[in-house]
Amino acid sequence: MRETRAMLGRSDSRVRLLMVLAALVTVSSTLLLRLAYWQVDQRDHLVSLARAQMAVRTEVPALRGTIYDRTGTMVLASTVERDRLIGSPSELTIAARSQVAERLVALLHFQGSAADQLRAAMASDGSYVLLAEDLDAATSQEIRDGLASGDLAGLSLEAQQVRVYPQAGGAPGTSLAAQLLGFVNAGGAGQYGVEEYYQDLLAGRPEVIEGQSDISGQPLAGSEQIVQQGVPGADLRLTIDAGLQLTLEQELMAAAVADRTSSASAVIMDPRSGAILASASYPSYDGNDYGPTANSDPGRFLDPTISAVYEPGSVFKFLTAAAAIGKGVVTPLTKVDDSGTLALAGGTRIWDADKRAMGSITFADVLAYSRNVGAARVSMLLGKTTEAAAQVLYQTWRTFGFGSLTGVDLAGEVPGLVNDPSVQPWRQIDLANGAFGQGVAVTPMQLVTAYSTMVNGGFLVQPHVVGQVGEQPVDPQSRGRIIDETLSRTLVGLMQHVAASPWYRAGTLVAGYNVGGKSGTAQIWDPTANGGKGDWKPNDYNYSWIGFIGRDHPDAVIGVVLRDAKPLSIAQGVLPLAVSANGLFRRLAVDTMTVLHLPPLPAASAATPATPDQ
Amino acid sequence: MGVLRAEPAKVRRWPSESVGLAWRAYDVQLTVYAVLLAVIGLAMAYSNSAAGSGSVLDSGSTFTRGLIWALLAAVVFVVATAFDYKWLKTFAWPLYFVNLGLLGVSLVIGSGVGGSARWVSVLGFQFQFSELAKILMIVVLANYLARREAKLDSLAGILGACLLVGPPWILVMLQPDLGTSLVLFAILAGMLFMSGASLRWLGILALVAVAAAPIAWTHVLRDYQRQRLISFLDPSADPLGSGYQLLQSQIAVGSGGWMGKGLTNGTQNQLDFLPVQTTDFVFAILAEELGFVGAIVVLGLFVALLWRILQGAWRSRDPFGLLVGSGMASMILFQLFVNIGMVIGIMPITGIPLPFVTHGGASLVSLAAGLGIIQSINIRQARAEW
Repeated sequence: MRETRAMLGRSDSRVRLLMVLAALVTVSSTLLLRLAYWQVDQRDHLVSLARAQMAVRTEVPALRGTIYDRTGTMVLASTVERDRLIGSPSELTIAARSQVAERLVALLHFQGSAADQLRAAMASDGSYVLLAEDLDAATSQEIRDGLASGDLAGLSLEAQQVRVYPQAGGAPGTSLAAQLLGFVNAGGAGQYGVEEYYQDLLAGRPEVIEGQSDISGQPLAGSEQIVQQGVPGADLRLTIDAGLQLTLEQELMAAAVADRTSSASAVIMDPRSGAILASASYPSYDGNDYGPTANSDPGRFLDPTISAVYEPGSVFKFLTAAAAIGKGVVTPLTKVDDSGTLALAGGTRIWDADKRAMGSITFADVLAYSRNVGAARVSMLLGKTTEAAAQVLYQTWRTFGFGSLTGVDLAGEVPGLVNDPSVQPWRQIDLANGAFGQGVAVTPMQLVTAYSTMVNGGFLVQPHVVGQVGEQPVDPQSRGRIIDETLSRTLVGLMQHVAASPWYRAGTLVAGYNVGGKSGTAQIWDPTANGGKGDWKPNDYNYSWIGFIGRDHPDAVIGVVLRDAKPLSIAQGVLPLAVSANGLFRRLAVDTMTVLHLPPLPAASAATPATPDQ
Repeated sequence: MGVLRAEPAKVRRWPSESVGLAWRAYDVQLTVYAVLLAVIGLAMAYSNSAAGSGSVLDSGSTFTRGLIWALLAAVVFVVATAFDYKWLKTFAWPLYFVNLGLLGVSLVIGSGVGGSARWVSVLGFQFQFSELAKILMIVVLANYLARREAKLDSLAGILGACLLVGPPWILVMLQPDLGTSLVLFAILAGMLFMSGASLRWLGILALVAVAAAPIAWTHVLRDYQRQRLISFLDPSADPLGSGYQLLQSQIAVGSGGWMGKGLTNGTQNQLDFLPVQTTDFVFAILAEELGFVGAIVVLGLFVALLWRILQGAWRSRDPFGLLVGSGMASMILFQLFVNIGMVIGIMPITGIPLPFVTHGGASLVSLAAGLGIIQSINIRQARAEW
């Protein structure tokens, strides 16, 4: 043994061997420790990483719900599956690409730049280029046939959901109730109006399928399972009447054109339920093709009946009436001195619109002849001091819903603006102005809701446009009685008295029905005029008429607002329009009665215009 | 009788006693461990083939080719065992030039990924001559060092060994094959160390090598090799490039857990998330499908195998035997560490196969030749008596 060692001639090779063995042990334990760290300690994390990169998630969107009008037969909005055409020119030879492109141009009837774009797209090396969207069924079929016969190649059709608004609107280039309905963007999200407000219900819930895929993303057979059941989008049945809506839009366009308005809006409401029968503005847009509007005038997507405020003017005198009569400081027959003008504290002064004094007249006539001075005097009776009176008037406004959302089921509503006297005390001029609707900003929807409340017995109604979700009827309850029935009846009578006054009688009353309402004509403050100091617009006025029509009781409340209308002539307080607000109201009132199948009462029993002493 | 210096007694005893003696000296354990590792390699090849669309036994499937290579390796092993290793000493220099010739041929007609020149097609089989070069280099170095055993205290002997490795190393780097060139380094270092070379000089040479590393970085390494090293140091630098491989490997190994997902059940493997899963990253799939336990078994087999090789080498009466064993052990240990190390992210990615397990015919056949030589040495001398 010793000899052997000597023969090898190395004295330290044993040590070296041990060192090599030590290296072996070190190496294997290093590897083992690291393996243990990954396989035991980090296992759960790494397993989840493995799952995550294999997971494929597919969402099959639910078909969006259809929107019907109140009859349940007229489709206002529905979703259809159309095809979009995808090209994969990379699969084709250069020659075949241009050949297919020419065939498509002919097939799709493309011309000009559209044809050039398609040719350019097919000439590219892309494997996924969008060639056309929204193909109609016949074109889709032709392309399918062409692909089947080998006539066409390098193309594929993908189903896409397209929202269509099949009813034409009252004005050219619009769809019916576009501003009320809103539209659905490319991502499937409702924008504005009903589509946005009821997005979740309409869209439903997509079916979610999860599975495993290999590296190329190809799902493995049998690995797919539904992890979330889809819920189809709910159908909505609106309270809107398609026929009345169309008539309304046509009337609005006619008035807007004749009166050269910047916009004309109207809301027709059932005053007892708060159901909106029709609501529209001019100008509107086409929900089927909202792109051009988005580029040119996106503000048009906002529904002026809920999203645009204005200074209402004299229609607000009925709020003053509700406050004063409700508080018992006046009756319709209380004499009020209309002095034509009134000096107020702080050296300010108000005038009647025509700057003429009518002398001592009843409060009913103050409303009928829209006396600003009279309304101001009555507002000062509301409290012992200006502050106390301001509180009463302000609370009346708030009670009727001004300064807060009506809660109508439409997206984009604004609350308007009424100044709280306990935050910023009113001067006497503020009280006087408030009495005839100046210094407040309100929406047409708020006005119609408030007037409905005045005439329905005093219940603050909940305005709404959806009457049925799926098979489930929706009937929002009123938000409670806010004035007593006697006051409501009195206000109805006063409105009839206004409509029957010499100024409005001819243009407003409808034979066989009870009609009442109140006009408003307001100057428009232009903050940019007069070198930035601001001034009243010289030729533009906002006109309103809020009123009701009905047989035994008010059956419909109709609010009409003409913005920036240009009167035919401008004289002291007399600003006639080609189509007056009350005239427009009258036409709409007749249409509404027809739609509601409420024929006029026989002449004998037709109520004569109520007089205030009744 | 006296004229002939032959030893008739020995010749007479050869058929009867020499076979028995040879069998007793034969290291059965060594062979068993190697065969088990090769079988595990075949199992991994089977698993990979099962993922494909065709039958596992299709000609051309990874598994079928692996089987053919394994049979060839077995033949090579038997032949190398039967062959008297002493002739290797005689033919060391011719073998050296054959080696250079083969590497030269690889450079000229070889093909490979990304413009490298590694693979040479022989009878329809892709063969990587650099694998054979490693074994031939061990033989040549063992012969060189064994003859200069007494002189290795000097620098000259050590430098001579380095010069010997130089030309093949350069040819391998030209392919370029960083992995094999590193293995050649490891073989050289291991054999010098076990030959009893002066530790002082070895240490100085090691320092010189470290000092030369920055030069190698700029002048020797190719872009992709630098990229791999960067991605090793900072895997998140390029998660979809080089770092992707490491991440997928990590996921494969980690998700295996204790017991693994079962053969053919590894999703990283079957769904092709892990690139090169049959070759350099076979261990990742092994760890995924056979788990931590499977990995321990494989590591255990390697440790046992290396232990047998080193033990055999140590007991060898012939310095040549000791050095061949040392060279084989150095090579296998280094490849084991670098390959598994890269799979589990503690070593940079280099194209170094896992001995026996990696699917690659040249590697397996060359290893069979090397082990055959070791067995040839074992049976041609009685073991040292302890």
